Amino acid sequence: MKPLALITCIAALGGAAILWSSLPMAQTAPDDGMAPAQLSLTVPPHDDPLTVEVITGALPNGAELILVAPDGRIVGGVAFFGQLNPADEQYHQILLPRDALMEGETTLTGIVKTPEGDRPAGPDDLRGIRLLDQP
Amino acid sequence: MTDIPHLKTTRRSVLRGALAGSVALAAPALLSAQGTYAGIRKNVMAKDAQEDVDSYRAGVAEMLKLDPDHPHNWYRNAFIHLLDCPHGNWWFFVWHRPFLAYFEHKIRIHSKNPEFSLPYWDWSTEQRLPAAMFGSDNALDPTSSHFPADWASFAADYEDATRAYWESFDDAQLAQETIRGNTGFDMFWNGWGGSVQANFATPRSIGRTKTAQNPDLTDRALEFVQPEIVLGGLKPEIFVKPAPNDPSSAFNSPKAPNHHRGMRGSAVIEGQPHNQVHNNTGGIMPTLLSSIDPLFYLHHGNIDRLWDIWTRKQTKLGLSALPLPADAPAFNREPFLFFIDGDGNKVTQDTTAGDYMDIGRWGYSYTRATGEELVDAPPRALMVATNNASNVRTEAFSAFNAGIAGVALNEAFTNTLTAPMSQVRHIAHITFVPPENVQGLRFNFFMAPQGDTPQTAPDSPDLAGSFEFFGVVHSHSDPFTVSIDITEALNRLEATGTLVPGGELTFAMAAAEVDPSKRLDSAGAIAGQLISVDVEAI
Repeated sequence: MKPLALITCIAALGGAAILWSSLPMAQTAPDDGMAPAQLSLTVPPHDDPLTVEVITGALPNGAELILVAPDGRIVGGVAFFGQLNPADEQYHQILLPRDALMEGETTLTGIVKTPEGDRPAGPDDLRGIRLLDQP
Repeated sequence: MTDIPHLKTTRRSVLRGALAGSVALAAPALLSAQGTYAGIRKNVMAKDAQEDVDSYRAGVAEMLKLDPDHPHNWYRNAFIHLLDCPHGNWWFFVWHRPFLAYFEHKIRIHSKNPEFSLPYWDWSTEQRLPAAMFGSDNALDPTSSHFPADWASFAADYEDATRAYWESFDDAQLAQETIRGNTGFDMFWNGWGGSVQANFATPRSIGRTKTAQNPDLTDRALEFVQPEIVLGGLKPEIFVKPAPNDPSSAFNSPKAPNHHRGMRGSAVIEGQPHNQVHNNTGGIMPTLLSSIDPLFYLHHGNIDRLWDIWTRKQTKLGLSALPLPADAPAFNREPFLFFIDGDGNKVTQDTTAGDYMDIGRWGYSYTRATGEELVDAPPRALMVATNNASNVRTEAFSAFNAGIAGVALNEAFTNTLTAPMSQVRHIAHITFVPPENVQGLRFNFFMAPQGDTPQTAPDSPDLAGSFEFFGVVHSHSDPFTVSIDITEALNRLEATGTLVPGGELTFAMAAAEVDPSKRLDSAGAIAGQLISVDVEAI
């Protein structure tokens, strides 16, 4: 069983803004004063895909929340289908391909993609991330 | 229990063991005289699915022609999804199963093919929309001439009939719609983002954006239909997480208070391949009126197939495929009130989630496709070579004669033989009836590849392991199972290249006197019976 790796939500300020601006993807400018949520994750040695739980707040209809590695690669994301209702936290299990994340400490940045454009995920959009046990 | 003579006998059931009482077992009194739900659902790309595809096309065309107030009208059927579907919670799988089964029955009726089975689209292997779903005069294509040209023409034909349908709802149904946000017909029809109009694709040319010339899934969707992702989504060993902060992965999406406004997250199968295929197919598929597109039912057939695989995998592992007992009452009692049966009547019997958990009640099954290997594969990754019931050879053994058992080698097992010994151990479970007096005896186990007879001298190179009783003089005559680690011995055989899939491993068992001083004069013959040998890789 993999050890449970709890995330530490770290302050996502100046450095995050630099990261955001360097992302190689179409994007709108971040909202004024909003820095993208960044979460750190300790990745154990693994030969299989990683099961990750992403905790989100309520997101707009048609939105997708994607997770971006420090080198700009999209490593995974949460896609919503259907009519989203305002809700408390939501818990999405996603599977990351085995080569999505290397062993060790990494930092993931959230981006909210909507039909109107992309924006950085705020701390209320992306509230947490952790590894789950997978048989 | 209602006796339904034409309901196919369950060939597999998720309802086993102590949890069986948590889900209703009653067979449904739902079937019309026109057919049953039994059948084999095939991969839409398979040659032998062609007749089903043809019937599907014909059935959809007929349902589109039905009057808007006919309970089997194509849009009336699609509205059931908009009115009642759960997403992002633990009722996702169990709601879509009856939705598809009742729909399949309608197609049987309107295609006039009582043998029709709904094909499924295994997007893990066919990573594009099936060619059969396209054509300007093909009812399986929502941009075809079979569908209303635009919202205006649709509304002109359907609004009054749909209003009458709404007004036929009973109080329980209306209460459900209120939870959902549809506080009246006008709200449902065009009053908010979840309404018919808001989800409708108009003009019909945008009903599907994939074309026969460009049918491939987008790169984004492709990431999530890969077998690696699908197999990972089938691996969890619990139906739903007991609590949000539980560190386990689960097969199903999270618990929620109700199935209408209870989107609380998603598990892998729902959130990744299901959602991404919906969202990246374009047209009407990303909406809750995706049930207008005939592709919807092929997509959800695959989702239902994966649930069936997961359930059978759980059963094989001896694990529950049901909610935890503490959660079961809340899960089982959730009402599903909008299904329409083959006779055009509202389903009024067996209307809760618990009634629909068992695929056996419908009698259908699926052909083999992505994920099935998890059911084939031994539990907890590897396992088992066995001398199963077909080749058990019960053999007497003694100090002078060995009992012999053949163990069939399947491919999954032989694949484990090349794994490093630090990662995989091989355990033989040997069941035998010992001699009446076991004191002073050692029971030796020997192995040889198929065609060879193990040498059974105590110092034989074929010796795989041995066992002695401790503190026992007289055994009972009941079978006794010994588990011994035979990893090293198997690796020696593997190095000779003689262990191959489909072959056999020959086991021999013999008793040896190791301490004659402990043998009583009255001990009797050293004779026992070898019953079976299973070998497990763990």
